[in-house]
Amino acid sequence: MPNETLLLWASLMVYVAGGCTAIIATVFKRRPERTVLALMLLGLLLQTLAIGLRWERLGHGPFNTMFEILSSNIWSLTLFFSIVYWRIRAIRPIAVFVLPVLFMMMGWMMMMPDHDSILPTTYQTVWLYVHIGFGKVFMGALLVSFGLAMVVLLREGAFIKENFARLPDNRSLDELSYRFILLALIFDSLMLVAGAIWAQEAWGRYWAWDPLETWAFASWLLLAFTLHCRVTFRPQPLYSAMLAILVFAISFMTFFGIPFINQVPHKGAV
Amino acid sequence: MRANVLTRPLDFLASLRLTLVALVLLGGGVALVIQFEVDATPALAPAIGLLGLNLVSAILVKEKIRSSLPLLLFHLALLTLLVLLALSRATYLKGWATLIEGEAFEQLDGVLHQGPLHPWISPLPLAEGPIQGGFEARFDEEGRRGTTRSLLYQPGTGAPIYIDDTTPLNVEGYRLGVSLNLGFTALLRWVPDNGSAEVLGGVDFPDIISEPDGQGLEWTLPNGEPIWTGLEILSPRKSFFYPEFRVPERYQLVVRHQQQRHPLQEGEALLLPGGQLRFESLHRWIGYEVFYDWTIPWLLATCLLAIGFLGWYLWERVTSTPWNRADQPEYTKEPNDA
Repeated sequence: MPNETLLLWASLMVYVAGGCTAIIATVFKRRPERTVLALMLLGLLLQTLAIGLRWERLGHGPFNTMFEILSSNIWSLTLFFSIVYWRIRAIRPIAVFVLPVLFMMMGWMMMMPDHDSILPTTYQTVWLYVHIGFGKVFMGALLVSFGLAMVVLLREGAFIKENFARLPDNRSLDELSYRFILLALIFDSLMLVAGAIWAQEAWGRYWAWDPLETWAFASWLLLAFTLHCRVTFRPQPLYSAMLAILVFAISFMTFFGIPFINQVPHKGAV
Repeated sequence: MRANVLTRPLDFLASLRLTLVALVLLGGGVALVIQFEVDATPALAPAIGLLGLNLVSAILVKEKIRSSLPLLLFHLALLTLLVLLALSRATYLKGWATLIEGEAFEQLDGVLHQGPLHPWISPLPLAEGPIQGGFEARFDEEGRRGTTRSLLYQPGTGAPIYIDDTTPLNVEGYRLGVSLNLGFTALLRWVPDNGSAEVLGGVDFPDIISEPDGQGLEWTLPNGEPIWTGLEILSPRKSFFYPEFRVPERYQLVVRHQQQRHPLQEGEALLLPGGQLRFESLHRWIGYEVFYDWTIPWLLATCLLAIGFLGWYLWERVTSTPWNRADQPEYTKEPNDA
C-alpha cells in the first residue's frame, strides 16, 4: 500500500516537473524537448508500476471508482500525448496547454478517496478492456486537438504569437486538428459499439440511455456536427479552434463529470 | 426546366446545412430523452427521418461523396444503419420471466416495451422451452451481490446449459439473461369440496431484493374467491443470503380471507368456502431479463463497416496530402499566415 502511494506521488512529481519545464521553455523560448519527453516517460513508468501494484493487490484494473478512472486516464492521456510528442516534432510546444489539463486531473485525483474497490461481476469481461481502450484513444486524440486549437486561438487573438512562432501556420495546425478530431470520431464510434456489445452481454440491452451512454452519444453528435461545420462553412482556423475546444470540453465532461455526478458509471453496474 | 424541378428539391434535401439542422434536431431529441425521460423512439424519429432523407439525397447528388469511394461507402453504411434502427424499433421486445426449478420457459411474465410489429413475428408461447434446473446466486457477508449461475435443460435432449452474469441463453431469438431479481414461490394445492379435479399452482412473491417487506399479494382462488397470501420469513436475512441465496429455515405462509389471518406451515391446509387450500412447499425463483432484437448482428456489422470506411477515408486524407502546408510542393506563404 505505501509503495503504491509512493510510486503514484513520485510519478505525479515527475509529470509536474515535465509540465513545468515545458511551460518555462515556452515562456523563455527555449527547447528542452528531450527533457520534457524523458520526464513524461519516466512519470509513465512510475505510474505504470503504481497501477500494476494496485491491480495485483485488488485483482482488477482501475475501472471503477473516480480515483481509479482519473488515475488510468492520466496514464493513458500521457501515453498518447508522449507518442504524439515523439512522432510529430513540429507541434511539441502544444505541451504547454496539454500538460496543465493533466495537472488538473492529478489534483482532482488526489482529492478523491483511494479506497479499495470491488469490480461488479458484469465488468469481468474482455469487452470492458476493449471499450475502455477505444475510449482512451478517443480522449487522447481530442486532447491533442485541444492543444492545437489553443495555439491557434492564442495566435489568432494575437496574444502570444512570438512564443509559438516556430510552430507551423494556423491553417496547417487546423488541418492537423481536424485529422485528430476525425480520429476521435472513429474511436468514439468504436467505443460506443464495444460498449453496446458489452451492455448487450452484461445487461441484456445494447443501449439504455443511461447518463454516461447519453452524454457519450452527445459527444459523438457534436463531433459529427463539428466535422460537417468545417465542410459546410469552411470556417477560419479561429472558429474551427473554438469548435475543437468545445468538443473537448463536452467530451471531458462526459468522461469525468458524469461518473463524478452519478457515482455509478453505467446503469446496471452495481 | 424539367430537370430543375426535379433537382431543386433534391439539392435542398442534400444540403450540408440540412445535415447540421438534422444533427441539432437529433441533439434536441437526445436532450428531451435525458431531461424529461420521454420515450426515445418518437423523440428521435423526426430527426432520424430527416437525416435519412438528407443522406439519400446527398448520396445521389453530392459530387464530393460520390468521388471518394470510402466516403460514399461510409454514407451508404450510415443509411443502412438508419434503416436497421427503424426495423429494430419496430420489432424488438424487452420483458422479463421468472422460473422455479422444473418450470419450462414458454412465455414471458411481463413485457416492458415492444415494437408495434413484434406480436406479428413472435414465436411465443413456445411448445417446448428450456427447463429450469438449479441456480446459485452468491452474496458476500455485507449483502453485496456476487456471481449468479443458472442451469437449464434443453427440451427433448435434456442437455444441460449453464448461464451466468455474462453468458445469456438464446431461445428462438429471445435472449435470456439472469437479472438481479430473486424471490420465493409458494406451491399451493386447491382441493375442491365437490370432488372435481385438484389444482396445483404457484404464487410468485415479489422480488425479495427490492421488496423485502412486501412479500404478499392478492389473487383469486379457482372458485373465484379473492384471497391474500403473504410470506413471513422468521430467519435472519443473512442466514438465507450468505454465502448464497436459498430457502430460509424458518418461515410461514399467511393467508388472509375475509379479515381473518391464518398462518400455515408447509403441509398444512386451510378450510375455505368451496374447498381446501394446502401449502405444499416453498421454492426459490430466479428472474430473467428477456430481450429480442433480430437486427443486432446486422447493426454491429454495419457499424463496424461504417467505422472501417471512415478510417479508410482518414487514411486516404493523411497519405494524400501532408498536414503541414510547408511540406506541400506548391506551398506559398500567405500574408495572413501566422
